[in-house]
Amino acid sequence: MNKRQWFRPSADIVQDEDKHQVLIDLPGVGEEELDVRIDQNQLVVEAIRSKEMGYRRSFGLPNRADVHSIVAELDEGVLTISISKLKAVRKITVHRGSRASS
Amino acid sequence: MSDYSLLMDRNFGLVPLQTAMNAFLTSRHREHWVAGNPVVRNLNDRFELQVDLPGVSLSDVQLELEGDQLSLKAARKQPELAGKIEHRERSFAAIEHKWRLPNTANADQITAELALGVLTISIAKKPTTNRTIQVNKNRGEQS
Repeated sequence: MNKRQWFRPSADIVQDEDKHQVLIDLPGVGEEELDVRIDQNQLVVEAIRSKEMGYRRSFGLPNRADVHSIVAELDEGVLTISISKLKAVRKITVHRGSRASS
Repeated sequence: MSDYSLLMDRNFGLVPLQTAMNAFLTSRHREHWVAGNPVVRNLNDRFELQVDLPGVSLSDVQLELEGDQLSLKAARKQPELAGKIEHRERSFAAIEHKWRLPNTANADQITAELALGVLTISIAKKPTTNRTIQVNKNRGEQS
């Protein structure tokens, strides 16, 4: 029986004001063989290329990452994962009161 | 080390023709992966070359046969990334490979396909001709 060998794929990380982006080279991987998940504040990517070979890598998530707004897109062997940043400043609406409490 | 190690070519440089040819001739029905390196398979009816070209468009792949020399050139365009680059590992260097086809290859039947960032080149083998050579009985002629 063949044991699958796992390789560490090459990745780039970029960020702008609104989001972090991780770009990973995953040649030979189809969408159905790709697993992207958040596990204990780690972004985990697992991709199976063949019976013999797969890619596996995890990334630590920064504090301001919005784990509920992660978008992943696979195109021509390149996976792009976009993670929105949580706004550091949250505006709290101040309502006009009818009277001041004593 | 397996004979595939001959194909190790981490910098996407030229594979020495002789080395590649040896690899062509010695690789048999085995799959082997060295990330980023071409894989050569010697199958029953064909040779198969696989080259990883993630993020490369079809229009940037050039495959040519000159005599018995097959050459591949591919350019990987670097997309404009919005924002600040925090970490960089992916290579955008030009990719170039050359292979010399063995005698058993049929140069008229080469097909290539780019899918999921992998280029697969199939080179048909010439049909093996089995020829029976008749052995004649010595009629007793002495020299």
